Amino acid sequence: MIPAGNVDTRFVEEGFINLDPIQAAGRLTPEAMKAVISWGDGYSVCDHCHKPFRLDYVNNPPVADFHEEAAKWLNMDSVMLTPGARRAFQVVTGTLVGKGEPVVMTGMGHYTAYLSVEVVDGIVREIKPTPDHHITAEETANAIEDSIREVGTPKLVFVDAVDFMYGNMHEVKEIAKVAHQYDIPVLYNGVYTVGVLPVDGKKLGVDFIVGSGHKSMAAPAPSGLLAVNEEYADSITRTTKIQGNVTGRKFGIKQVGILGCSLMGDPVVGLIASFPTVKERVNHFDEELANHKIVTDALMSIEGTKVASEYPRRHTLTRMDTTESFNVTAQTHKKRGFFLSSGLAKRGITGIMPGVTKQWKFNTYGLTRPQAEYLADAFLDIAEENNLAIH
Amino acid sequence: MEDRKQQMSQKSIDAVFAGLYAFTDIRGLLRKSAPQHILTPEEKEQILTAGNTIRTAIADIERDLI
Ligand SMILES: Cc1ncc(COP(=O)(O)O)c(C=O)c1O
Repeated sequence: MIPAGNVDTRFVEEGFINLDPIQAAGRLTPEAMKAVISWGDGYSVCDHCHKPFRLDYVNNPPVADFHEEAAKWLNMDSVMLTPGARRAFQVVTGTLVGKGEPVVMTGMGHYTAYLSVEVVDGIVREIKPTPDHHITAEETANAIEDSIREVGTPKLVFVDAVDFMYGNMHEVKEIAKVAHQYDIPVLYNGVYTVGVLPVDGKKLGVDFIVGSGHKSMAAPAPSGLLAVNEEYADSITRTTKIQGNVTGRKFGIKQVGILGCSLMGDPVVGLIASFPTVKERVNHFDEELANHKIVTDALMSIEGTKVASEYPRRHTLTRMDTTESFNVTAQTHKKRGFFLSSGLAKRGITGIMPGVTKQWKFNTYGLTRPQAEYLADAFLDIAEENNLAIH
Repeated sequence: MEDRKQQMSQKSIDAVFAGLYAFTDIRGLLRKSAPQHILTPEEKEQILTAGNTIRTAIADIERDLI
């Protein structure tokens, strides 16, 4: 393989079907791959940065337009770009949450959500997941009540639209309704939805929408966005007032929450270049689910195999339970649990955690129909090769 | 003289990006068809189109810069 200077060339996507749950919807579009070729130099997007010297005012590349269009697309009032979803969480907690103040969040949340509370010295109050791994409005109300009683009124309710553990969809609209009854703003974590399926902030009734460019908007890392409704726009996008005590220096209208200009070079240009495709692709999520079903149907036809996520599937990230099938094989196979990932690798498939045969996750987002069919056949092939019954 | 020089280099620059973008189109097709890389008739046509663009780009660069 030809190296790129002192790093290897990565050809995972060119050579394999990649099922890695976090990588599927962040693969670049050809448009983004082209854009990053020419805009890769450090501060490239600053070529045409004129007064008032702020990223969201830059017209070439069309960063300003992107801000406007992305807000419209999500049916929110304004958008701020961030280096990943986690920095968007931090902008919100940094604005709303003070030391010792509680944030209610899902017990199935990502570690970055917890850390975004920790970084402002806040307190996490978890919403208890149901036994079938859902976050409900009822349990949210319980968590809010408990918080009020024990540590104070929460400053924020933080909920994942689709969680990373099971790819289950949660009742955000109902949760938002409950939180608003207590006057608590709601953050919709859309890292697995924004750029993947249609998201409408006003319909959901949420105050903040967070998206991840590198997870779900076919953009380079780190990229993401924070969409805000009118009520919180001023505080989230507040501009600097600080002044040097000796020099008297001031810093124009730089935004404090994200420390001025947030996203430069390839991340922002890739995000913008993929946007037309991303806007279109969310309207075809049913086709993604149909492809996904081809694979889950094949897997479930292997005796003992179950879907551990909610079923029928509403997302292409799924947790499988093969304790009673592939894991039985692993007990006696000479490669132990690695037989599955190595059997897949032999067939040009990657992205499933090597060695794991009890519960494992995969994501088929972005596969073509022939790729989905090939993948389904590959699982059946491996099952057959290992004498597992297929129905 | 100065103008002519600028025009010539612009042509090469355009050709470099046209070539890189055409290679990127091929890269996209490799991704869509991984791991078997069995292409449909339209995809094969796209490979031919990209190849023509790349050949033209190389010819333009050689004519301009050498
Ligand atoms: C549910 C969830 N939220 C947030 C993140 C962090 O996203 P980012 O990498 O864009 O900061 C992840 C990453 O895996 C995630 O799964």
